[in-house]
Amino acid sequence: MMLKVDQLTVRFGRRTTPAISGIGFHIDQGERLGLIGESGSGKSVTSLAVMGLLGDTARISGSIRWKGEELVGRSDAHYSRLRGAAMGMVFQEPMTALDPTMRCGRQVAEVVRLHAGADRGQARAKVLEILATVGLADPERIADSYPDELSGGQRQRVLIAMAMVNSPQLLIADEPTTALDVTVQAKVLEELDRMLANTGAGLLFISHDLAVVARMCERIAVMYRGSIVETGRLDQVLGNPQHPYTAGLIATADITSAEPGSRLPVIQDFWRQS
Amino acid sequence: MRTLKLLGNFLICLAVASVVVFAVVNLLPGDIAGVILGPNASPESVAALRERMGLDEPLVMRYVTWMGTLLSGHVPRSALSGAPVGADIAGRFAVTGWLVFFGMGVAICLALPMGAWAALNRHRPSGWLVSGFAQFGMAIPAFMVGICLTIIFGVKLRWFPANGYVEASTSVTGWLSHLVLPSITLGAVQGAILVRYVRSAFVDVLRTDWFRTARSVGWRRWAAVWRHGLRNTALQLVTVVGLQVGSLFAGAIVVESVFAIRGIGTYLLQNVSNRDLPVVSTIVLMLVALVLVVNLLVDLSYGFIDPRLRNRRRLGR
Amino acid sequence: MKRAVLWAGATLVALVVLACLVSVAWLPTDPNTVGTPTLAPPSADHPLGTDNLGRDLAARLLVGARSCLLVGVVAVSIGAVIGVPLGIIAGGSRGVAATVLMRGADIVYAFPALLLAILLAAARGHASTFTAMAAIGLSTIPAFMRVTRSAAVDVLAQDYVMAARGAGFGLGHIALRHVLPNVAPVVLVQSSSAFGVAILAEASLSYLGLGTPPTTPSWGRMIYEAQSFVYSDIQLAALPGICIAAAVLGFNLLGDGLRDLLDPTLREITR
Repeated sequence: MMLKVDQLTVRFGRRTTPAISGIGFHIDQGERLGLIGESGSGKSVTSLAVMGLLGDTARISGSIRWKGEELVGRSDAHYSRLRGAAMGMVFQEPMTALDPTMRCGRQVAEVVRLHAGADRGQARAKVLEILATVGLADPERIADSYPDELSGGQRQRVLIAMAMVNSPQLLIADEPTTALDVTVQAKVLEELDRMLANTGAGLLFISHDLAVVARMCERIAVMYRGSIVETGRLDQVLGNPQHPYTAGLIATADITSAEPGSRLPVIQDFWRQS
Repeated sequence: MRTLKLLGNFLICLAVASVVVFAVVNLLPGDIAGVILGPNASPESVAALRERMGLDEPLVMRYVTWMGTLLSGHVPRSALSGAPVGADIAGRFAVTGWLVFFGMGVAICLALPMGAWAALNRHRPSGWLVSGFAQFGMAIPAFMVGICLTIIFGVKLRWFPANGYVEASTSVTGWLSHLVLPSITLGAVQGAILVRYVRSAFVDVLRTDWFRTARSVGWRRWAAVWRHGLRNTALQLVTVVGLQVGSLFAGAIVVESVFAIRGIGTYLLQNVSNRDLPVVSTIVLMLVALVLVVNLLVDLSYGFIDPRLRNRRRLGR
Repeated sequence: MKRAVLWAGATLVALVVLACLVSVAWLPTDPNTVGTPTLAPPSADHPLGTDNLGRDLAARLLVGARSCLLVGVVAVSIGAVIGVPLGIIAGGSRGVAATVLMRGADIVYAFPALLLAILLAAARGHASTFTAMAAIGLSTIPAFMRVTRSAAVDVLAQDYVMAARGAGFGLGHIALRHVLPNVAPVVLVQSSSAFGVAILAEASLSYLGLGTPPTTPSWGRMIYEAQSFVYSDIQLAALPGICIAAAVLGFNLLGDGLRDLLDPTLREITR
């Protein structure tokens, strides 16, 4: 088992109600798990907890095991060696996720040098290679650009390059295409898919969009109000939802089946049925 | 284009400032010659001084004469002795310049690590401690800090000279050792003020998405702050330090008094008690001009610090 | 934590105000009576001892609170009364008028309080409490203008202000009814911080002999007079120093506490 999360509960500050409670899931080598749920359901808190990036105000209990080794309570120094090397992460908002005062190529190169100890020349070569891999047509130009000279799609590709450049075994993608245009979204997903297949990396894919999760993952976990309410193989969950929230999610995702002129279904409808 | 506009602004501000200084001295009620000579002066000597200072000429003419003297690179003569004071002022400015330079150095060296520490540990007691320490530093008057440092390091421990000043041309070590306590005094007080700005600038950095990205690729907190935080806060910090130059010079006036340093501040105070108005107003205008020059330099430096501004120029936006 | 800062500040400020009130109602002895013993240790007659001229230290400290508060109140009033309306006008106007106002603030900002005080003292022929208060007050105007202007700009962009304008209300009405109440909190915070700055400036000016005249006890001046005796009688300088620090700290903390109270803080998730 590569990543195993058990009974993970996170509280912030003095609040007594947890942001997430009793979360449990696992990801094997090369496996892809989709974490789906509405905004505020605790998806992002879960992903940040796995990366060890929750702030000082967060109180974490439960267990996060990486290849059998417990990560909860480990020092930041220890965690930092995993981040960017064994695990990579891509966030939702590409417009603000790059340092505006540094050329993109250098930002990627520093990740290579930090973990692989490569010299400037080697790092540069690797940067250009990975930028080409993520589907950027002119890697030289992109590398020498400042973030505000690039489009949102280009920036997100640079960020994916940063996360993938050291060939991590697990990529955590938190709504990576939500902020992008639909056409760009499809391309970025396609490239992500290809890269993961090539490197054999596992994926924790976080989204509120069932169609996107279905395209990327073989297993899904459904989050609702800080808990995982349902988990299983994609076809099982979609074919036979056990939890009313999941049923609602599936029904509302497919609006093409709705009768023209009729009222669209909302999640609440499925609560009342159960 | 931007440079020209800033330069124009600077010149207008400088001109207005000179009018303000001139107006304060010349338009407040009271006869200047009478003020200079004091209440016991005879009417004849007052009249003689009025004649010598050209006070019977129209206001505008006197302003033009004053500015003409300054712009031609001279300073007005002392109203009391009639002696030229240009060399005095230049020498005194050099002394104060070093004090302010080293004071600013001390302030920055204190404030950067303390502010960064306070920001990174803002949810921990050690961070509150640093913030609280800075609060105390802000509340203690500079002269009090100076007196304490003199007692401890100048008199009790005898590590550094307690007061006075030695020219670098006489003895470099003497010059440096005489500057230690005054620079720390000036720097500690300014540094305490600066800590707050550094802290809030770094807290803003810690909340950015790109800082989170830097952390997610494996940078430790301090490394991420060092690599990304400094370059992103540089703009703000240069602005704040630039704005502090005025209060740094004002602080230097106090610090010079505490340590009996013959700089521009003690010279200015000496001329205030001599009521030598032409000298006082000229030095005040020079100090104000200095503040405005620094503000201009800060504005100009934006173009070099921020790549976004740089790009805009390159792309002709 | 936030409340703690606010309460600490309020307590220190209350102590200074209390000292001032006590000094009006009752004093151990007259603070200016010169006599023997000089440099005496604390005793029944002189709770904190006497200074080099035999004046009662406790009485002088209590009366010192008066000049500290007087200078603060007058200076902050000058700054607020001039700075706030100008800030609102600058926030509400466009083009040349706004530029001229803010450039004016920049120019005043280039005159530190100390330089203004020196200039005024020189022009009047002698320093006084008046020149000190005027100088400190004038130098706080730009800060008041800036915070008021940015708050006013925010308020003026609100829909209800647009609606009031659309309904035909004049600018004076909008400034009084909508802008002023909304900028009041920031002005309050700024006043508290400016008060601390003013006390420090007054202390420096008194120390340099450019503030309160010798007959009126002032903390800054007491330190100046004690400077020759600091090696033998440190309390003569230390006690007024502590008073200044406590007063400034009080107003600074009060300002910070109020700011935190009025500012909804951002929720932080990542570290």
